[in-house]
Amino acid sequence: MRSAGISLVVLCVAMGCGGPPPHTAEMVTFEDSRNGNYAYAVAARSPQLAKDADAEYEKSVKAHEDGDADLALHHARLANMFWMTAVYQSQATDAENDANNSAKSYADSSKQLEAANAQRDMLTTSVTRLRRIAELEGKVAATESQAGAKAKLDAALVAIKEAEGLDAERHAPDALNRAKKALADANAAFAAKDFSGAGRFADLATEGAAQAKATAAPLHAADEAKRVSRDEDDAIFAEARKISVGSVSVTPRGITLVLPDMFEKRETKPTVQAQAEITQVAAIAKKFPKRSLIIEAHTDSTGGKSANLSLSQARADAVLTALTENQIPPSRLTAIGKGQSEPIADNRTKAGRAQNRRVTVIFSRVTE
Amino acid sequence: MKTRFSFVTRAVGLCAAALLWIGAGTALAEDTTQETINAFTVDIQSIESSDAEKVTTTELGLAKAWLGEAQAQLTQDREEELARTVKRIRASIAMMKAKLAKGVAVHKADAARKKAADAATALKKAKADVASLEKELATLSKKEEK
Repeated sequence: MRSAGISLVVLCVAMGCGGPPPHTAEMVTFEDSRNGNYAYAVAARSPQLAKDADAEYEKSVKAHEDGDADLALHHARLANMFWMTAVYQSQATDAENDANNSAKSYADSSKQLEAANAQRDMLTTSVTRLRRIAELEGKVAATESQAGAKAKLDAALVAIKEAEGLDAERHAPDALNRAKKALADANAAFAAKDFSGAGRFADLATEGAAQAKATAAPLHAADEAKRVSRDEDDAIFAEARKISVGSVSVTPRGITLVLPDMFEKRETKPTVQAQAEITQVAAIAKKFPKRSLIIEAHTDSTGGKSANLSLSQARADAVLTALTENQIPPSRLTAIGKGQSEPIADNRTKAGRAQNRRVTVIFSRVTE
Repeated sequence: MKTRFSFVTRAVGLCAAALLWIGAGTALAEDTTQETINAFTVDIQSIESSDAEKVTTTELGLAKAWLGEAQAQLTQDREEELARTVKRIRASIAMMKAKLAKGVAVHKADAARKKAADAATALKKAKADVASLEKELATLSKKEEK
């Protein structure tokens, strides 16, 4: 096999089928560059250098074919140097064009930038002004909100105090506690500068307090009336005790004043002493104009029942008349003759009968 | 006699003049080539000093070698080789100058491109700012109208 290969090479050399020797590295470098994509532009821009390079390349090829390697290398180098000079010049031209385009682009951008900056400055001025206005409006709104919340808190506090004044803690504890809790929440929100929340909670507190007041008011009014009535009872009691004769007691019907021996035997006209006592009773009645007076006349058991009943009614009417004469309106007065039906002592003794002969004046309670 | 003397004298004079002319011509040619080599040397030094980025290092090495060869060829009167070497050095110097000029141009182009890109970026940002401000202005104006 090996001898066969050598024989083939020898045969080829003998027949002259080897052709021209391969081009040197310098020549190939030139050929590659000269036939590259960029070559057309280079040759168009530097025709003389391209022409010189091509001429040197031709000389190199010829010398190479003639077997003069040194001369071939010399011309190939010249060809490459002429060509590369043209290439560099062309690239420099490209770079200069590029720089010019960039400069133009820069100039355009700069011009637009100048306009955009001016617009931005103008807008910034406007926006800054409006921001400031919005900020101030926000502050005003916040202040108003704060003031509004404060006013609601004050109103809720007043409402709760009013409810407490109506004794809501006793009459409407749930509503009052709800109001107090809402007020506490409102105060906490206010402290946290949540004025909107504070306002809402304060409204709830006011609402709760209003409910408490609505529930407590009638109950409190009733309590008050009772208290006033009690106070009046005390005052009437004290005044009644100043009357020298008779006894005073507090009964379920009111303040009861018992006046004994106001009439002579079988008489229906009060004695002089009794007249004075009636005047004192009238004075008390004038001090307490809301009180009605019930006048009840009683007899002992001497005589008949029927006669005693008539006698007692006449005596009760006489006292009523006497009070009327002392400027007590008849509308406030009721006269009842009880006869001998309600003795308070033993009719068999003289002292007992004296006790039974009596007139009772009751200062009745209005509200009860 | 006078004529013959004059002819001989004239011939000798002419020969002497010719010899003088030839000698002077040769010396003149050598001087010019040396000046060329010197000028090349100056050019190469100039290229080397201005090539801060060392893009011509290979070419400079070759050109310096050729300068040495040229000097030797000049000394040894190897005129034909000298002529080729001088031609290569001239072509090499022109090529290196073109290469350096290209480098300068590319640098300038790069700088200009960067400057343009920076300006474009700044413009883009300014436009975005303007758009944002216009939007905010519209919102704030609406609020103010209310």
